Amino acid sequence: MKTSKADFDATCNLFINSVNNYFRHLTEVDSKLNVPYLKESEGLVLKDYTGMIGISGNRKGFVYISANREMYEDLIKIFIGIDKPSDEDILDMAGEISNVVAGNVRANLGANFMISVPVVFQGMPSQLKIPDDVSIYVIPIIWNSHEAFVVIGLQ
Amino acid sequence: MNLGLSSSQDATMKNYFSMFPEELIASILDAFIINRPMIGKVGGDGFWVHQAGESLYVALFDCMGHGHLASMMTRIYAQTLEKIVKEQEVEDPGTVLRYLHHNLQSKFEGRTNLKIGPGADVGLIKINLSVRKIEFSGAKTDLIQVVDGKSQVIKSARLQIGEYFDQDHDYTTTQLTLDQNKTSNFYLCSDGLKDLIGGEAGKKLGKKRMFDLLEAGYGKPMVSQKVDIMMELNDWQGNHDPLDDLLLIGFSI
Repeated sequence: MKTSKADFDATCNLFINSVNNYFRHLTEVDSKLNVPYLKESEGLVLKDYTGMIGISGNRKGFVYISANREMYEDLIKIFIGIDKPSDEDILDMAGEISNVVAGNVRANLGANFMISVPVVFQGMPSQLKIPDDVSIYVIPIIWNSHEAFVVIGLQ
Repeated sequence: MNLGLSSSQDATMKNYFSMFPEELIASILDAFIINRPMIGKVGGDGFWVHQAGESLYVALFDCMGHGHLASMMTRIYAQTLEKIVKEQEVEDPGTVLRYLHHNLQSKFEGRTNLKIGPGADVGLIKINLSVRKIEFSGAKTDLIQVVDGKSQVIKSARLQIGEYFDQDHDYTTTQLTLDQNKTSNFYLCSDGLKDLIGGEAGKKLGKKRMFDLLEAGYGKPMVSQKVDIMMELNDWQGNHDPLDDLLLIGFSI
């Protein structure tokens, strides 16, 4: 089932709210939203480390949150108190944030919106393939002076 | 939707399980490990194995929290144990736990508002492979020994590692000399085993059922016990969601 424009917009808004809530409540530092855009050209916008979650049920697609190391380092310092996190810690943080954000959206949309456990990766895996019939919405956010991308792809 | 990513591209499990070398313990002892994080692929339960000459060290730690944040804490515990035993060459399990606590204290004391605490229940066993001797020290993690199908508990200290920094953490070592003619099975487990929700009434598994489960495996190879225990746990759990990570390490000597 293809997602209608209204459904797509509503889902994107839920993700935007979830990201804002995540930063506001867990870090007490608000995130700022830059102008979201629909991505039309090939390829994905990715920063250094990414946590990606598959979406199934009534809507099919994916969501990922991608940011550079410095943003995850700041989050780890706040959450765990580790000053010099390893690459593994950074990847865990990428998985954690995408899991919590998508989990909160799922709580709003109910049982027909299913999410996978996060897949985390550094850089751009060569095997990553995005189907042609997916609409991709890019939400750039700024938190604590770090830029991150929340990217939603829905069929 | 197939995005082309297989588990080999996913760094989550690779990071988590690379710290916990199941192969090492299984290559030396008749042993098994059941590791079932509550959510996703990773959690706050972890173990650490290290061989030094005739001694094999096996530690289990049950860190606070679940998921990816807790998994970061398991790495801190594994790396700190590695440093204490491998680099500083501390050999006595009780002393290792005291050093572990002091390391955690120097890292985390005074850190407030963390989203996940640094505390953990820890059990540490040192196995002398040549003379069948076991040394154990625990922080809120008992060691269970099963001989002739009957279990006994080797008690741990009641204070967690990495918490209550204002109190004296005195971890002592218990020495066990094993009967040369009888097999002993040993088990270390996190709280998630006895607290596994299930059955018709949605109750915790509880200590009694847990001991029954472990005693029932006496005389069987550990690989068979693992299959039996997994099956029993799945039956017990049914459709109930787990409330905690679950880690069980068993070995026979």
